[in-house]
Amino acid sequence: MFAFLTSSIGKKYIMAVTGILLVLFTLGHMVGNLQIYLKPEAINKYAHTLQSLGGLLWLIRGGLLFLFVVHVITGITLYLGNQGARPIDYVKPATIKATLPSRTMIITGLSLFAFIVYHIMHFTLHLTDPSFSFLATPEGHMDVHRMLVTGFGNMLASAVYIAAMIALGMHLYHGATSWFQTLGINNVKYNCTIKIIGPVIAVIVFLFNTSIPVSVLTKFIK
Amino acid sequence: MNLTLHIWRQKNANDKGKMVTYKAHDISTHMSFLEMLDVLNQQLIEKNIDPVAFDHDCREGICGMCSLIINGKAHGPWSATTTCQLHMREYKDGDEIYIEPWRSKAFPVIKDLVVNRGAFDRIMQSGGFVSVNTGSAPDANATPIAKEKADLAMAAASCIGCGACVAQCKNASAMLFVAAKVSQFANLPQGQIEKKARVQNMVAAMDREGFGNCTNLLECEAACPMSVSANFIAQMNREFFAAGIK
Repeated sequence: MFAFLTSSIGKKYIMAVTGILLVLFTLGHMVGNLQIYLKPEAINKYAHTLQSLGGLLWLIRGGLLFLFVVHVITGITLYLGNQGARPIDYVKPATIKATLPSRTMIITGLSLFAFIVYHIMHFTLHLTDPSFSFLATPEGHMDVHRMLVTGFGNMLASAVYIAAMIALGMHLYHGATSWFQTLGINNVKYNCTIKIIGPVIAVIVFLFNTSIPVSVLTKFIK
Repeated sequence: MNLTLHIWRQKNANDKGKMVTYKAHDISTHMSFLEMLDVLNQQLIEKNIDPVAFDHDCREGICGMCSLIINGKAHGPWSATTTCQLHMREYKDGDEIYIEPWRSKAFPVIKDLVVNRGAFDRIMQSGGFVSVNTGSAPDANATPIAKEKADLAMAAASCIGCGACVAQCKNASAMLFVAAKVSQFANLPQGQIEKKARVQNMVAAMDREGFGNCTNLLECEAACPMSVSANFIAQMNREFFAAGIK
């Protein structure tokens, strides 16, 4: 098993499996956040439910952190290995059919890493704006709706989120299709469908996630 | 026609090497790319310049010896074509062409455009074979093989081991080559006996040689002169997983 995981293909399996789970989290996170379009109570209740999970919440957070760290470290290891595999590059390089997202996974990946650190400091730890911690609903719970409206009301913060969603969309465009090939799920009959899964997920996640800061900035959500 | 060629010149494996620009005169559109280099070399010899070293053998598109990265593309701009089958009608008078060797840590340059592809031989030695008893030839149809399986094995076996997949891959990965060589046996009953050890040993040999990791860019299958499909990489990934967990 150790020989499997440390081989080049084993590391790809690690990327694929952690990647799938992170994609599922991304989709779940997006669906949860879309409750911002309902009454303010909806997302506040949802947030309160999550906060009340106690030990389970920390278990989920720990699991996510583990997946994330493994995905990032394995990704960087693979990237460095690939850099070493071609010590002298071509004077005139060219690309035949590899897509832009597929060639920039390390760039979009590291951008997302930086973004996620900021995102947690922003909306989870409230380090960038400590006043978020004092936003409370009449029941005395965290007023997530107000926090999102205030947070995205800042043009610069919204711009960072939208830029990050471009990176996320590109990362998913390749990643959410690539794992099929890595895990050996390849069938002439289904390859056309497999090929569009990544792009479809990318477009959905980009449009829905970006719609939130855009809706706040255009006062659609108040 | 006359061409401006930028060619990688490197005296030996230890030399640093550099791009050198040459003018090639009187190139006919009927020539193959390698014949164009023959003409250039003749012109260089007449000027007392060391001719450009490049690999070639059959010049019929089947041996896998010719290589060359031409304007950034392995075997040049034509799909499913080896360098020797690329013809000069692709180019027009005054064109500039960059010619470089395969670039990979596992393929060290021997001289100019010639690289050492011994890494592929060592991968083959690690598992790219089937063990059969010697003796008289068995009956042609003694082992029944489904048509689809035979076709699949044949498609994998069409790999000529030229190394274009490695050269074109942004990561210098040899996955398509190894996948083709694993799959040509894995799809046949004769290849079942060593199935597990084969994929494990060949992947381990590939990793030892210092090739890069696959990121599913699919540049390999686009550059392959035999159009070997990257579907074989998925098959190898499956085989490798199955071998690893058993």
